[in-house]
Amino acid sequence: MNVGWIEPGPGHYMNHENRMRYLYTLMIVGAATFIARLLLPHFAAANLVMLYILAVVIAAIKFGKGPAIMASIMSVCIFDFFCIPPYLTFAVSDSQYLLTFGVMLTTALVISNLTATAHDQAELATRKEHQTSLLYSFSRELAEGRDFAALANIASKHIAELVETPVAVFIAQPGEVLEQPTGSLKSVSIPLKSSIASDTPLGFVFIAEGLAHCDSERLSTLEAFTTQLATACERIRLSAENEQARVQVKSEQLRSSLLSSISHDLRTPLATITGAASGIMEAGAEVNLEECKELAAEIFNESRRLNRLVGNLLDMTRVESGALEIKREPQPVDEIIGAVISYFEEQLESRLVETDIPDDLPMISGDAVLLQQLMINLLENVFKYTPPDSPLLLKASQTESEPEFITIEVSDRGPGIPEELHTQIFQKFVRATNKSSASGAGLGLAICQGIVEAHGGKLGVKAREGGGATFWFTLPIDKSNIDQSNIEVSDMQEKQPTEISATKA
Amino acid sequence: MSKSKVSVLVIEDEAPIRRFLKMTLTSQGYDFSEAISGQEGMLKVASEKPDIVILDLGLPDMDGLEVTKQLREWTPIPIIVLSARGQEKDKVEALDAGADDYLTKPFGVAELMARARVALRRTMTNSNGETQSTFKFGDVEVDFIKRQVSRKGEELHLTPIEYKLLSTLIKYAGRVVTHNHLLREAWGAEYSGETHYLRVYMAQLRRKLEKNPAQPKYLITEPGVGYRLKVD
Repeated sequence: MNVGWIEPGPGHYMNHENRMRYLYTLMIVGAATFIARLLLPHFAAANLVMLYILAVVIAAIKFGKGPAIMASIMSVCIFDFFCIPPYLTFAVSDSQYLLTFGVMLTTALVISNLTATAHDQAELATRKEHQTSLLYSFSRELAEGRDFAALANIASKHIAELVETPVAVFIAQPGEVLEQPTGSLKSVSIPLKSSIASDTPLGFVFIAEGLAHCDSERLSTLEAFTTQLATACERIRLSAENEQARVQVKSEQLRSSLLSSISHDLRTPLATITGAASGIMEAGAEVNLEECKELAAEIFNESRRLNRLVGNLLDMTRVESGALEIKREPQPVDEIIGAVISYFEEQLESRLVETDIPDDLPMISGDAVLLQQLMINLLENVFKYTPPDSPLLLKASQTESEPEFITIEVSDRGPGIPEELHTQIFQKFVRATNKSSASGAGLGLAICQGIVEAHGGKLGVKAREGGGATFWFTLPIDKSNIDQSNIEVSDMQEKQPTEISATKA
Repeated sequence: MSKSKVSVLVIEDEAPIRRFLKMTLTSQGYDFSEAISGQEGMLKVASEKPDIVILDLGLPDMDGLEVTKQLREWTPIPIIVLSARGQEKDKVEALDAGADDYLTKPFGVAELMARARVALRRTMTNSNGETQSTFKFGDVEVDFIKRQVSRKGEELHLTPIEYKLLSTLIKYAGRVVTHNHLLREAWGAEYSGETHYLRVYMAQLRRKLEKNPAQPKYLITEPGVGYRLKVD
């Protein structure tokens, strides 16, 4: 459930404003009287009526019908009281003034009515415009809301401004059923109804103080707000469902591509193993030992392949779940490269292997086991895709542009990798060729990427000059700053061992 | 050892692996016996006095590491531990506890036999009481009496630490020696854990002894575990 709760800022209340309007009207009439009294010695009383008419018009324009009517009646009375002899009484000496009063009152009332109506209409138009703009800014902000929590916040803010009392907005997550919130007797909770036939409301707008103080226009705006909000909730729901569906389709695709490639890669060696093993089991009396050995060798090789595949799957799981633990230690680059060369001694026998590692290269900081896995995967790739007698170059260097990193390159003279695949091949299940002769789930390079990134380095591939591919990656140099000369000095000062245990072994 | 045949005790809970070891070891001329738990294994070591123990690190009743420790309290019998891939920490612990070498599952017979031969050589030379005054690998020759190391007949200058590292690796030739073990031997116990010293010196040693230090033939790195002097 997502809740937005807003207390409105200090608002101006209707009653207060109403009182002020009548008060101001009184003041206008008072002002008219003051001027009339000043002018009385110089003007005929009948002409001063116009001042009062003016006051009524002003009251009508400024404050609407009620104050205007009050102004009309008061004007007549005050005019009589102050401007008609005998002064300061309501008595009238000349009966012709009764006609003046009658016309004055009628005119004032008609004017106040007309002006007030015009004023009311103008005000109504302004209010309508205001509400429209409220609705517009509300819907615009709603459209920007990306999740339910954002919607709840936006809605509670706007609705609280509208109804001028605290508002809470509750929005249900998909599948969640909300209880209708209850408060005191006057509290109101408005359900957000879904337009797509759903019995359960999408949420509630809860107004603790109720809506008794709101006029019909506000109520209709509120209704428009809640409709907008319901639509927005639905939009988010639908887009979430869409996104979920999209992700599902995507992961479904991945899964099926994984399944097809894994099942192929698992089945091929299993088929060979089963076949070879049953061949040995069923061997008749005149069994040929050489043939049996060949079958056994096949079982052996295919099992190794299976083992590597399972290992890769496990590594991938570790990379993806973020469970890759790095045990950083200073590592000499020639040790990393040397270790993988001795690991693949047999496979490398047929190849010319060149190494290019400067003597003064600083050590890198990394996990020996993971880095070996990285090198193994890169070299296995080379074995898979290049002829068994093609040369191999392993090179390490420190570039001036990135002095904090060592770049290690594995270059082959194979078919190379099409440029459009240079970034793709590091993704899971992507392979440069679909040759069935080359087995693999397309996980090796993805694991390499995981390992290099976990070390804070970069990994890539480029075309090699003169043909072939160069896989390169960078590793941070070790900062622990072991001063080799210092160790050497202390070493030299060390006293010579008097006994050599090797001879006593 | 008075027995004519070399006897092997396999402590392993998985029947298929025991069966394949029994088949191959018997066919290679070894006496074979087996135990399916750590307790049973330790009893059999005491009663049958085998020449070598092959010990799975993942036993149902107790940790293989614990078995190694308890055996080492009273017997120098060669122990080769079997572990799954990615358990470098377990391997190092077992080696530091006194195991002679390790094999990562799955492994082939050839690897197992090579490791077993090397491990057995240790006790055999001990019992024969022979001491060698020189040691050769590739074109390197070490004369322990003169404390001289030469390559292709040319004398090499090794610092005392380098010499100590080399003689330790020779002492355990063919077997993996953990980082901590080498540090202890060359620098002293207080240096254990300071593997960066070791790496610097091993790199120097390689440059002096190997034809191409980036493609070592003898001073082999076992990532995450230690070093091994490879002998034929």
